Amino acid sequence: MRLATLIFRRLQRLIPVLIGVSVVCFALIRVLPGDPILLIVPETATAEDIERTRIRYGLDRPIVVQYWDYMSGVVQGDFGTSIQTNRPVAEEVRERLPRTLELVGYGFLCSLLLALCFGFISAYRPGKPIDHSSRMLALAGNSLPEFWFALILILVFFGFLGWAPPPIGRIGTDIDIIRVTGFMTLDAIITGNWSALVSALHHLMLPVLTLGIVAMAPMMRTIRASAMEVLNSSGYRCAASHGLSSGRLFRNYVLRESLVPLPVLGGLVFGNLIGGSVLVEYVFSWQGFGQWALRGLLLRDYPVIQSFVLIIAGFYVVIFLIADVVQAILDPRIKF
Amino acid sequence: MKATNKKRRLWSLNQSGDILAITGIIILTVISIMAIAAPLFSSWGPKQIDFSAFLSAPTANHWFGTDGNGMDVWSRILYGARIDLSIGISSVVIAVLVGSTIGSIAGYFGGWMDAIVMRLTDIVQAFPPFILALTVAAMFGRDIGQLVLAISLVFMPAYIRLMRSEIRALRQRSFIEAAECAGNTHMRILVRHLIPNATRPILVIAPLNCGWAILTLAGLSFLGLGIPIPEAEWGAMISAGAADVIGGRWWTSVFPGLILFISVLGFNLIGEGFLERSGQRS
Repeated sequence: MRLATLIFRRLQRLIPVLIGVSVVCFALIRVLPGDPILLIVPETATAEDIERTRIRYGLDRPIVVQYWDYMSGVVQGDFGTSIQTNRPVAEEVRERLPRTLELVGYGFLCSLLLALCFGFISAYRPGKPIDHSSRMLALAGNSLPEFWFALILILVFFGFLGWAPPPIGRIGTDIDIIRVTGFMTLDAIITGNWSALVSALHHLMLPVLTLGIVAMAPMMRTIRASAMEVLNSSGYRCAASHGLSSGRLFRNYVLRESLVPLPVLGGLVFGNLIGGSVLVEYVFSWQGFGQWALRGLLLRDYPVIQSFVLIIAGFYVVIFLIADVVQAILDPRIKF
Repeated sequence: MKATNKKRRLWSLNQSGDILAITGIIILTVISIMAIAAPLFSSWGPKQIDFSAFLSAPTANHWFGTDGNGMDVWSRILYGARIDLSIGISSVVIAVLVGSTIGSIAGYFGGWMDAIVMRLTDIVQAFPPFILALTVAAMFGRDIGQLVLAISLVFMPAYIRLMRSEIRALRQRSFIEAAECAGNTHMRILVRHLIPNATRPILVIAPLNCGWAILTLAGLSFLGLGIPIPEAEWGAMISAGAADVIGGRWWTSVFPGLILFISVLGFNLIGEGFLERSGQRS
């Protein structure tokens, strides 16, 4: 009941935000310079041809009518047709989004694991060299430009050592894989295609490591702070002096408490990862959602831009909704 | 009186976090001096082409090598610092000024003004930061003024919210009531009594944002949405050299990225030092 109220309250705030996002974006791209039609008609096109193309894409109608038309499509899962490729936007999104989500998902897992490791190590040895060095590592990771770091990793692991595959695409070119979900590793497992799984993981190695190291700092800082708080608490000291094993103390006291602030922070980290993934995809020619959106933005492909903005915003606010729900489950003291 | 004490505490040397902040300040001072006095540190101009050395590895003549256009990487890094640091810092300054003005007005007067401002920040904050900068920059164009605006827009909601909540908390205090009873105008209460007491948390996060702003600018340029190529800018330099890195000619990308990393680290060290001493954990 408590969770239902929370979700209902959040949705009440979330829907106006999404409508606001769509209105602002819709109006802005049409007001600002740049005309998608001029980019697709041949150079010899007359003013009449241009006008006819404009009418074909419905861009001659009043902006309010266009907006209504677009949004009533969106509600039914129709995101319009790309002006550049002439394909339904929904189809392109279904193709591109899983690629990026796979990258971001593994990147998140990687940064969470790194943050947990280093966070607990420094919390258990505050002020010791290992504490300082893991904090410096997190700070340095936070200062790294991810696109440059990715290039360095390519230089070292592909260029010098030859451990990594060439940074083009997300699977070896010689491997066929049946598409089920669009998530490469998941598809490989479902179809039992082990060589594809190995190749996909091999290609994921460097981009995931890049994202993981760059994004770990805030989570590590929080884990360290909350773990240290537990370790210095009288409750913990009492439990320890009763002779509980250190494994048990860690699981039931330190780990449990340190996880509480993570979900909301995780939402922010996820957002940073989505942003970072645009750059990392570009370096590794990942052909994901970010690269698709970048092209749409540069070519003023209205339906693509609108859908990208709406999907990213929707995704981001839903992530925060989930984060709030998880936090409410982890911490029953929170009231709404 | 209290405020000046706090200010002094921010700079005194005997607390944890000072070493971090001082290291950061030293790093940035060195980079700024080299950027301002760039012609003293390099005999090559940032766009000067050496026709005898295209993609040359580091030599005595070209300390950090040359790029594919025969331009000296070291000198482009120095001149690039001018663009990167000034855009990074000015976008945060604009965000602080505009954001805290809007935030303090919304927090002080409340009512419908507050409601509108909050709904607008909700909309802006519905995007991951880099995606917002990317979308705005792609829509508005790539000259310096527009890039500064695109980057500062990303930070503005945070400052609006921070200032608003500070002002709302301070408004309840009795010295504000006293100032109201003494017949001060709203304007005077806001400017003389409220804002000076609310700036501390903002100054703490500003350096962290400067570092992030520089990363954003470089990222946008890397994608081709920022400063265009013949101009010396770190992100664009990394981007231009990216293809060479895979071929083993690493210097065109590695050096600009290194200096970018060091400057961002400088800002983050200052920010981390400030955070540590204000006891505030984000």
